[in-house]
Amino acid sequence: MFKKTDQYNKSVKRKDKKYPDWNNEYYRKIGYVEIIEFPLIKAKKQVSFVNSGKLNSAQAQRVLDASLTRAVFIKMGKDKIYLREIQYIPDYDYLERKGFDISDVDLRKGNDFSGKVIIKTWDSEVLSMKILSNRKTINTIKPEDKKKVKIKTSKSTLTHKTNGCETVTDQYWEAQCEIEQQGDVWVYTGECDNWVLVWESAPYEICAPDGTNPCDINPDPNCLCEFYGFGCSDGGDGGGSPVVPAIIINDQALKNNPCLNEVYSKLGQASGFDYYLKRFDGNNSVANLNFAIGTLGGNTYGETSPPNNGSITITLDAGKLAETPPLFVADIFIHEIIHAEMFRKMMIAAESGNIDPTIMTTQQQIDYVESLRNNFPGLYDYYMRYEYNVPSGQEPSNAMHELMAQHYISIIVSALKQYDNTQTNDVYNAIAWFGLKGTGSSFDSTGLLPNSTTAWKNLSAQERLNLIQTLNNYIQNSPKCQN
Amino acid sequence: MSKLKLTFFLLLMTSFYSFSQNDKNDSTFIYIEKGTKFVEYFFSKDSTKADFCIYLQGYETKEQRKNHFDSIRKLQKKMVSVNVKDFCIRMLCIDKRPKKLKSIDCIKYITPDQYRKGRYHRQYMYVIYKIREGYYLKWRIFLDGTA
Repeated sequence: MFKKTDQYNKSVKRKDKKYPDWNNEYYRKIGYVEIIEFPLIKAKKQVSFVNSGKLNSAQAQRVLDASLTRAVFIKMGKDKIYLREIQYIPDYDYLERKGFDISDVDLRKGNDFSGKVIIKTWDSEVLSMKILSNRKTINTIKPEDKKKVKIKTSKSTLTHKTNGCETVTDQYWEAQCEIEQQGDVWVYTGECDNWVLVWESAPYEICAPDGTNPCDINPDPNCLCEFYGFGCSDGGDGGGSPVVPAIIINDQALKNNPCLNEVYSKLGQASGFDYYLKRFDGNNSVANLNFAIGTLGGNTYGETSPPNNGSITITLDAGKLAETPPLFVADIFIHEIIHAEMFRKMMIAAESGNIDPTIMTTQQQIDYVESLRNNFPGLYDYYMRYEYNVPSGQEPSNAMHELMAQHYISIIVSALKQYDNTQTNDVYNAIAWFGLKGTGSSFDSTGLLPNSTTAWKNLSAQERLNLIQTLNNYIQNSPKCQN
Repeated sequence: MSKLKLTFFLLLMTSFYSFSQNDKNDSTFIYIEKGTKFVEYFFSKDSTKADFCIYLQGYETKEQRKNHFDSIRKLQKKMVSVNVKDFCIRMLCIDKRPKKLKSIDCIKYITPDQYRKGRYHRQYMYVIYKIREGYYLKWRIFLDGTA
């Protein structure tokens, strides 16, 4: 089918001929997304790698020789298929560990690829570059980042670091190779010219990630749209630039409440919040998101209901929230939308608009749990630890809150800072911890609750008391969100 | 202005301010005394730290709370996603001395039972605790909560 497309015919006519090797495929399914890769045979091999000055020329040569290029087809839902070119450029250490052959690499679970992955359109326009370590993204480089020179990365793999940054260059190499047709496929004859350094970029700095992009630290199927550069909410026209989506979010309930509407609108401009909102997009999403205003019992400010026929509802207690500062209201929005995103992942795993195992068949339950384990191992792990396998004698807790307290505080803080950058870090942290400390009657003298979350317990008593005190002072002394 | 007049004027202003806060409906005063139902509380020796817990309806007794946890455990064993809610409205004050009051006659207060059943959440929340007749402590408290 692909051979009949314009894209394929154009590539055959071009000088830089490239042909998928249809006999060797690498297939994986992540939730509702199917991905299939074929080795790409190219008359002109092109490799670009990040040069940090660590490799001698012989080592660089081996990296160039071992680099892989593949055609990748990504099938989203029933009728959307995207085509990309993907290039794997291994770290030298990883390559050495693999005996200088990474031809079987793919990004399936259990694969430990470490190196650079470049995603291009079929017309060779670079959409994104990632640096992976043990299959996890530790750096995202977008083409536009290059213009800014400063690029995000983590501290973990690069050498010559100063304050988590290092200076590198991009080198772009080419080699002309002979290819020949054997039956239905093209293969390399084994004859290639020497690698030629075509250009080298000006030095630029790679620094630690700022924590605003959850895909940098928590890669999962929902990051695929970002990974393959077709825009997380658009129709995937191949351009790679996210298009403003036709989001199916029913936020009518917020419109008549000035406080909530103002906070929600302003939050929509914060990339951290927007990232999650765009998960709920009518085109690709399996979930719809509704906002409702209601009265919640006790001291509950917001609540996210589990999915019901594909709809997730966030209910906000406008009366209570109106008595708190706007930044606190923003935190409740962020907190609830993270719940919603977790529920959405569970729906993907369940392949259904409901995630209640009691209404599933036994086989559906098995598939659901298996899918959760394979596709969302973090969520699965927390559900196992804090809900399913709770030791006897231990009070039940909330797996989502445990997960949020352990891994999302910095993400919440980043989103809050984007909403309002006038507060101190202590205030942002104190607000982000709201609702994540645990449950129970009252705090003890060290700031612990009878059923504290593990992450809360792991803070020192002084840290806990400071966070409680800071939030206390902030709420009491800041202007409230006006209705 | 004589000292006496000035003192009187200040007292008048203070009481007017307190009254106006209440009158503007931006404050809630919850009254507690020894034996008040549905409440647990704790003060530090110097009273600068105070914790109050108003139990929600249906969770007042230990047995009810145990049953609540047991039912959650059962659902969680079936991998049903359950939001473990707080059964208690937590209120606290840290590092602030309470105000001493001789009388609460002019304060429009509510009971913990009224609070948990109604909509009394306001920007300024206070707990008044009766030590003895003619001696009350008033804390401005912060509501910790869930989301």
